[in-house]
Amino acid sequence: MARAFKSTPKGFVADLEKAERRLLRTLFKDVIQLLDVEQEAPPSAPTGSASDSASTSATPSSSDPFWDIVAGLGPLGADDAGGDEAAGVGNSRGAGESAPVRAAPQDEALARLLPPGVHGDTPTEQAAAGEFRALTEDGVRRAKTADLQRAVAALQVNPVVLDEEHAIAFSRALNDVRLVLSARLGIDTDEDAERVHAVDDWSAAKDVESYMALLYNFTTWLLETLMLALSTRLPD
Amino acid sequence: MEREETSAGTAERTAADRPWQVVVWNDPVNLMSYVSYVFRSYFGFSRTKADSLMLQVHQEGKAIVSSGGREESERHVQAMHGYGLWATLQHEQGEGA
Repeated sequence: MARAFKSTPKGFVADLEKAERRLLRTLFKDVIQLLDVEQEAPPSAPTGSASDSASTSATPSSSDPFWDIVAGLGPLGADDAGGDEAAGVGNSRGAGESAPVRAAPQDEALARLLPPGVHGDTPTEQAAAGEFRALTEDGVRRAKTADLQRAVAALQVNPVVLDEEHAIAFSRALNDVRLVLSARLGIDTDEDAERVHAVDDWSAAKDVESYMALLYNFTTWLLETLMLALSTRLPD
Repeated sequence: MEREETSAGTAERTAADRPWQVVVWNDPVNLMSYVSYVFRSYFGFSRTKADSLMLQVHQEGKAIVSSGGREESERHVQAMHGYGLWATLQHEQGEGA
């Protein structure tokens, strides 16, 4: 089993088994692809185009429930998103007249990654949310994709060693994986979270939901250790 | 990593000059340690202030974490979305825009 992230003089270091690193890379890549999907695109069934499974071995076999889960995180098959632009805070702003609006993503997990920036159901609030989304969503997608790509790269070697800035990016990427899994697991309340948290036996996992719950708990645990390590570096 | 001062709340203001606020909402997924760290590292809050805001989010469902100009607040909301936090922008005491 993995050894958690620790703060060391060399940086933030985690000792992860090969299978764990491969697993995490796959999860990160799935979120990258989820973010790359156009809103209008119908959810397409993954059809064994394993172009991105850089992990030399295991091509996802549709008979393996685990890979089905991973495939279920988002459509596979597209190339990795190429957004290596920096976070798009500098979006051009259409000076106000008839500001463009954008609808929230239909997909629940994508909607979780790209939440509304204005709260409320009134027409005015909805319009403001659509306007905010038009202004910021592409930048958020690019920033998340960049974080996820860096995380994939960091997992090529063991131990995983991250400097502080990279560790923060890694924490965002891990959290995005958790958000996607939480949407797929239907975690909407604290009780839902507790139900998922109670799933802890890999040997007993036999259905998609329990595999996803185990993945959620694994990424949660890893993130928790990273946050503990990171927080020691901040002034009180 | 930017560290923004968010002290605009003390500036005198007229009714037409109400500040924009960044609200962070509770959710059952984001870890308390993560939320608190984001508040400390991004906004530069002390551990005490960050933990207190994090607990307010958790217990009351939401907390106003920053108050200031519109563009600055929009930038903060976008950054919070980058961190996966459920943040929204609001105009103090009223509708947006």
